[in-house]
Amino acid sequence: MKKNSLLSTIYLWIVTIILYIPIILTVIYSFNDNKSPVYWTGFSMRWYEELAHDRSMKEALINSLILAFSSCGLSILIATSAALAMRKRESKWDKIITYLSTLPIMIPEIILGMVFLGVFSFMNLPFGMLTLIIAHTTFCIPYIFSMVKARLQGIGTQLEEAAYDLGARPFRVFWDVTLPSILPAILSGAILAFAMSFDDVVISIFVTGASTNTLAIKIYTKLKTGVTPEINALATVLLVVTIAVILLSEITKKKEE
Amino acid sequence: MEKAFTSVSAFSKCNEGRIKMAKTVLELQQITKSFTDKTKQTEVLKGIDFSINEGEFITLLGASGCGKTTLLRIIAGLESADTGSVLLEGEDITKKEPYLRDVNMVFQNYALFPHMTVAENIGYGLKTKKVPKKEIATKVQEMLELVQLEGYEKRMPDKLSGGQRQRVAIARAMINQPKVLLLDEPLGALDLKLRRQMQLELKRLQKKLNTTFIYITHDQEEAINMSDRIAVMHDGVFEQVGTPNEIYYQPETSYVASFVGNANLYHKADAVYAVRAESVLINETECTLDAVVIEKSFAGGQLRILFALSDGQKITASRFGIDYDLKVGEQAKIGWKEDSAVRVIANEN
Repeated sequence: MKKNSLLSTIYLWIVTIILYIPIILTVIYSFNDNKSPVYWTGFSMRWYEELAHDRSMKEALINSLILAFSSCGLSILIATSAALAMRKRESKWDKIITYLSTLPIMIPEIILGMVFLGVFSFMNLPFGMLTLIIAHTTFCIPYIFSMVKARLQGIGTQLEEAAYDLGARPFRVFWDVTLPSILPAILSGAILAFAMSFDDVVISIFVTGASTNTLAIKIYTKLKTGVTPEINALATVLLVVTIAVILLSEITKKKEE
Repeated sequence: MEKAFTSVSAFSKCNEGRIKMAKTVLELQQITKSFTDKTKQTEVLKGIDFSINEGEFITLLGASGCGKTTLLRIIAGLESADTGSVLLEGEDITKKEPYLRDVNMVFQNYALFPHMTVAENIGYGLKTKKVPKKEIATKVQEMLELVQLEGYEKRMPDKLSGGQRQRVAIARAMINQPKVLLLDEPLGALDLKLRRQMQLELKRLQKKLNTTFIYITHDQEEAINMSDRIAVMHDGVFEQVGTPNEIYYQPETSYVASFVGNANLYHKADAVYAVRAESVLINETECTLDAVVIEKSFAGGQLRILFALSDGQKITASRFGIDYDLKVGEQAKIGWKEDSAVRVIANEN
């Protein structure tokens, strides 16, 4: 028994190390004074400085943030109203609609990207921020929708009935009772969606225009010219941001419980 | 002279009774309701006619699925009746939205708003009616005092015990001074001891504020303890409406007899008689029936002795104490006084 638990401990450590060594190396080498990813010549912040002065990087970051915020905002509106609307009615189509609306999570991104490309070309939309936002909103909706829907099922209708009974009109019931009840679900869904949008490469590459770069695309294209430590620095920054966002999501989830 | 005197005393007697003036506050006329499932249509309420007087404590007593909760929800406006009408102080409110009705409900699981403090919960009904904040605060304080929760105003509901939540739920409904207060098994989630205590408290509150209560329960003890009148519901109809005394001692149907206090149903020829277990005599002069003891059990401070009659019918007798001078398998004569057997309409399946 003891041997068994020792073995499983070792196994877990090996897995963890294998998973995290590349990440840790990236972080370490972002502080390397040397251009080479192999030799360590001393601690330096120069790649971060270079990154900070890189105007195209800044532009890409701003694009990424605009994209993530607006697609998240739109998905919150669409997904939440859809979940609310579906609760009010009972139809045999509900299951199918629910299934269909969560499908974008399961469809391979590359296929989604191609589909978007086809649709936007057909519609003659200019490729750029607009197409990016539409595409990102589409794949962000399922995350928020499924969370809000589950939450709505969880809270039942009794609280709202109590509010009605106490004299609250429909809008007031929504504002005072429904919204506060589902807000944690909206937030944790949105945070997840934000992270998804922020690091998406595959779909973005298909639907972006020549002049609109997101940070994720920027990194990907830089790879073609060889990894510079500047990328390591950028990866580290993104890593920190992503971890922070995910942690935030977990905390709101905990609060919800 | 004497006649006048009697009528005056009758009047004052009526006045000190629970029903001050028999003013009708709520009237239900021919309420029906069906629910349609995928496979079949279930008639939950089959034409309920009922009127309730101001200040009365009415209990709807029935097993789960008898339609009592649906009826309560129809009165509250959370459900709409298929046919029939609901009159509140003479005004037809059948089609009125729940937020415009002058009735309030205490929900089964309290339904307190989890993101609001105790004070915010209690004051919510006044807030929706745009009562000034100061006035709300004063009234909330009064209610807290009334339900003995002073000092709890800033607590969140999840930091309260079951009994405290219950009080908040009651205060939240009562603060609106509804014409009728609806209570849907409000004590169902509490343990027995707390339930007994809350029964008394609720009754005290009801008397103090002279609010009309419609109370739902499946617990006959609770119904008998608290009510002015009990309506025994079964299968979407009122089987019998009456005072606890009438329901207990003069059941009209075999269902009422067996549901309220588990009376024995004794079949003789085509007739069915209800005989309460405590009225069954053993080896006394009135006893004419041959019986065999087949089981003895102790419950609720009483020994219940189950007899089998020679024709196979089973009769339970109850006695105080934990044992009785009869062994299982022993022969005895049992019977009852004639007036303790009530002839009932047989409708028990």
